[in-house]
Amino acid sequence: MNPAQRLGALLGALALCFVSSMAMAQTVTMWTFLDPSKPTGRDRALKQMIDAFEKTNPGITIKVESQVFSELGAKFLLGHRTGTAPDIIFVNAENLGALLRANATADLQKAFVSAWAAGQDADFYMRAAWDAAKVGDARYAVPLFPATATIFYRRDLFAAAGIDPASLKTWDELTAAAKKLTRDTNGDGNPDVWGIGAPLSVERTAGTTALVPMMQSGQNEVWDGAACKPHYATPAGERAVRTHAGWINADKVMPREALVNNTDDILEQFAAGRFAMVIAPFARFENAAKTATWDGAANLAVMPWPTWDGERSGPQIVTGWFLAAWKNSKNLPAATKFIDYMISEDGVRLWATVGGQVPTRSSVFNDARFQAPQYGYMRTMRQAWSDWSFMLPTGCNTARFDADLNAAVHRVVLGEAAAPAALKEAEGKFLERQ
Amino acid sequence: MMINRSDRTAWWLVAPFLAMEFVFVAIPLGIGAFLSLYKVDFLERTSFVGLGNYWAVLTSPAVLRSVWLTGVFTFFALIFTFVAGFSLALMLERDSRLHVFGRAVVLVPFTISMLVGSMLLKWIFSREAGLMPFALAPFGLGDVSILADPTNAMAALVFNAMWRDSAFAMILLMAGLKSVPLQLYDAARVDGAGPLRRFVRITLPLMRLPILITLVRLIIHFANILTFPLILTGGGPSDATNIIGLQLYRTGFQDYRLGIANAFALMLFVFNILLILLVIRLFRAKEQQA
Repeated sequence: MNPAQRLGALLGALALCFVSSMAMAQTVTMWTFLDPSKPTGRDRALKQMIDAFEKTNPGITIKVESQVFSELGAKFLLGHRTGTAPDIIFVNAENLGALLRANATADLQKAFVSAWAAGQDADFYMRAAWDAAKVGDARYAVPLFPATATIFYRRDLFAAAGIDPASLKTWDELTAAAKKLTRDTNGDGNPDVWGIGAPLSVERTAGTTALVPMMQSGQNEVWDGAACKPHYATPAGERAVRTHAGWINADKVMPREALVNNTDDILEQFAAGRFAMVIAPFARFENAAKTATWDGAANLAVMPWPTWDGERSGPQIVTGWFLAAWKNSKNLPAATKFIDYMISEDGVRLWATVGGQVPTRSSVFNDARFQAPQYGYMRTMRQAWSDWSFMLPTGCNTARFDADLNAAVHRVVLGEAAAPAALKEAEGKFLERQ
Repeated sequence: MMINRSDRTAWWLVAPFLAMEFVFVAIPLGIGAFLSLYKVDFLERTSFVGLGNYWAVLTSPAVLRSVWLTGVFTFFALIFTFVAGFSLALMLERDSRLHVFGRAVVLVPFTISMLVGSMLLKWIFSREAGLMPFALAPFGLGDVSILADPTNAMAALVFNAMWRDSAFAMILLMAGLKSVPLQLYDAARVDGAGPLRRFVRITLPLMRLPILITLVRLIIHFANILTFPLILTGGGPSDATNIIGLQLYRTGFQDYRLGIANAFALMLFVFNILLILLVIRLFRAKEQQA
């Protein structure tokens, strides 16, 4: 073999190695609102998860393409139609129905859940979230970060007013407590600390309404999911709207400004000490504790929704983020393998310990660290979720349903309409979107 | 028709921009027009509805109310912004250091982003944590809730527009003022005309076209505004500030009813085109006048 032939053979062998390694290596693309290069909890957890997964699966590379969270669902659907969707998608509860209707995601039950050991499935204690994307025997998404709205309160103000938070089982008791907590400290005739605050704006208040828990605990269903029909204009609905309006007009435990306050506004004012209780997304708990101008670590706590009869805690609407795989992915086995890892015990533990998320698995919740006092808020919510949680009807367009209900409260507070008429309007808006 | 060499060069020079216009404006417009004839929910085209979406827009109480509110907002925002802008232009027309500094100060709200400016005003107007209640307290109005009252919220929206855009009006009008020959003022002064008479008899007639152009441009701007209501009031309370831009944004990007949103957007587009044609006619009239 002459030198030229040797060189040719060498180059050929190298090319073969390159081609074969390319054929073996798989790059799984994932769209998420997280960014592994950032230092915040969930971003760091994802980074560690990718590193650990790639180490145990040398042929697979996870490529994260960070997206604006509000555009994830729509962009994925567009990608599905044009054949350019990523292998894995983070999808929020509000867009889950759209993904199901578009038949865009793969059956994860078939991909890996059916291969789990017995009892693993039941480890996901938040059943409404676990079964949110279940259609027949197929499961098109699995829950990752559960979210819900609930009541944040200040232990110090409750103690000063002599109120035991555990005693607030009914909405009427909560209203009475709010009256006691509303104070005018400088004597100018206007309260400086309000008993309760709720984001009643029609903008950026998604998933933070207390109206639905009030309505749901007063009747059997708020929506007919099969027909996509709302049942707002009912005695339970009227009672919910009148209670909210009463907080502002009659009881004076909430400022009128709440009508234009979104979630951020309410939490900023809560952090500044203007409220004793607020309705807020549970996911903001840690941040609220950190930003409080009072001792948030010691005094911030959560309580589940009350009910009208006080016999149990109120219904928690489950929102938050889910994981799904694109059904036309060329890397489907690798993609579903990574999803399986992200919701495995190890994965959930990382999301909880590094990312500060509520564990979605009972087994992880039973870890010794989650029995410590500082995780008391997580245990409270776990109990509430286990007691009574439900999903919005994923087959319907539920976009802005909470804005419609908030608008009904506006109409009643401003005296523009009575509760039944305002709720009928809200029903009309919901139906218009279907 | 023969195209000479310089024309060809000109066409080559503008070709990239025409291509960009075609790709980023004409094609999306065509797609939008096509989709406006369908029921499109969550980016999924389902059934052909013909002009049904246009009819749905024209008969929607929410849309009709938003059109009325946009009219109210545009009318008051236009008056206050124009008057403030014209006053500033007259006050700061000279080129002394003080006047140039004054112009720079007036331009500050215009140079910061609309979003930041509106957030700033939201804090200022907040009854719970804002500066405005302190300012109103001496007049016995410290307890007034500005953003939670339908009328006051619209007034706050108009204030937001005036605060930010009077500088824009000032720039447009100042350019017009600079083109008024100074000799005319000198001659009028010699004839004994006072400042008011000079303004009425010289400035206003010669500023007719700049004023019209400014008014039309402000109308286009206000009729399409989104950021102010989205950030400052969220369209509330009770939809009292839910103007067209916000209604369109919600229909398309929050409700995901893209068929109706496209029909709505095309109707707004036609309205804007009419206003733009008016501006072009005004420019031509100005050229002929010159």
